[in-house]
Amino acid sequence: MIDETTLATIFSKPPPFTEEELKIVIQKYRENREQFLSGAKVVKTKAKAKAAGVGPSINLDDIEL
Amino acid sequence: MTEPANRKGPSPFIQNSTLQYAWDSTSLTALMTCAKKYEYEIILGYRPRGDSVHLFFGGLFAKALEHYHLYKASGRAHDDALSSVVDEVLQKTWINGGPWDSGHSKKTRETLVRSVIWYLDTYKEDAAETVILENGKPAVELSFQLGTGIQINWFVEHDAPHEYILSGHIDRLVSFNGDIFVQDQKTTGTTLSPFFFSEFNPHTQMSLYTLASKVVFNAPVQGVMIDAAQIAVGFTAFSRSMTMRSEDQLNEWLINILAWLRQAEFYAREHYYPRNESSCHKFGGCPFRNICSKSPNVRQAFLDTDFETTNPWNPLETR
Repeated sequence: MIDETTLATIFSKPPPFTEEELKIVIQKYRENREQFLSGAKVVKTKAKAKAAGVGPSINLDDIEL
Repeated sequence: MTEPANRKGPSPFIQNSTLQYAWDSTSLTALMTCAKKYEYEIILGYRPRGDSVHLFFGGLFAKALEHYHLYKASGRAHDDALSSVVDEVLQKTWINGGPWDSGHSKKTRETLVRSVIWYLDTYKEDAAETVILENGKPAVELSFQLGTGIQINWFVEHDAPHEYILSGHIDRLVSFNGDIFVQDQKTTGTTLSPFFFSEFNPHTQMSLYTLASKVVFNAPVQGVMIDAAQIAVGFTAFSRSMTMRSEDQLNEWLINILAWLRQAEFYAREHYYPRNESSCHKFGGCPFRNICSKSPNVRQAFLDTDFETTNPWNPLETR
């Protein structure tokens, strides 16, 4: 996982940017995207569980989407 | 008498008049919305101060995607092309010795870079493929000027334009499921709902792009594939929709445009551009509403304070 400080450092420096810096920027935003998509999946999972009348005591991971 | 503001590139107006002969979807839409808005925005070149954020952000986003498709068409791999466009965006948003500060909560340097990366990764295995034109070049970044055959009803010098021209800039032509579409990118802060996409039919820009692609690029285009990006603080979401145009619809659209061009001739002849007071509160409110609501003798002071004319719109300016 790339930390926010590393990204902020790249964003605060003037061009040119090295290949490594560009890779870090792309990797960081890819990690953010995965987190966002995972969060969206959790919301969908919970919504389906609620619709199915499943209570909070059930392990959501056991529910087939 | 109102005179058109000076602008970059050749003037889209007939000399010594406010009659525009070269039109694009932006100037046509302004005219259709309200003649006074058209006068302020297109003829005189007024833009709200701070409005440039949306144009800058959207322009860089579109340019990044255009360059990516050019690189891919030349044979470069996804990650290699992506790295190049991210580099370009970072460089173009380093301004006057520092990072671009948009002053906007959603459209920032960081969300721009994020949106480019997320979009290109989302559509990495896109079924929509760039069309290769007859000249062998990829159909990306296509500027066009289309002669309409509509005669200008105005006294013009011998070497001046005699017909109206429609111009524009198409992001990309794509083949998708056996058909060809214009592809256009839109960035917005609003949710990408069916309501959002419903506004694209009828729609001047979508009809113009479809017509121009058929005529200028000799491509059997069915309509426009709209790739929309919702720019939020913590994420960018994407959605795609098509807006189709039949031959009959395009013919009807051109007749409609003829009527509006004759209306523009009337306004120019009368030296008067009336307000359409039923448009003032539409689409989030006209930016000139606070000008038109003022007494005529103080309007110029408010225009000078709240608006700028540093970069008047020009349909003939090449990108």
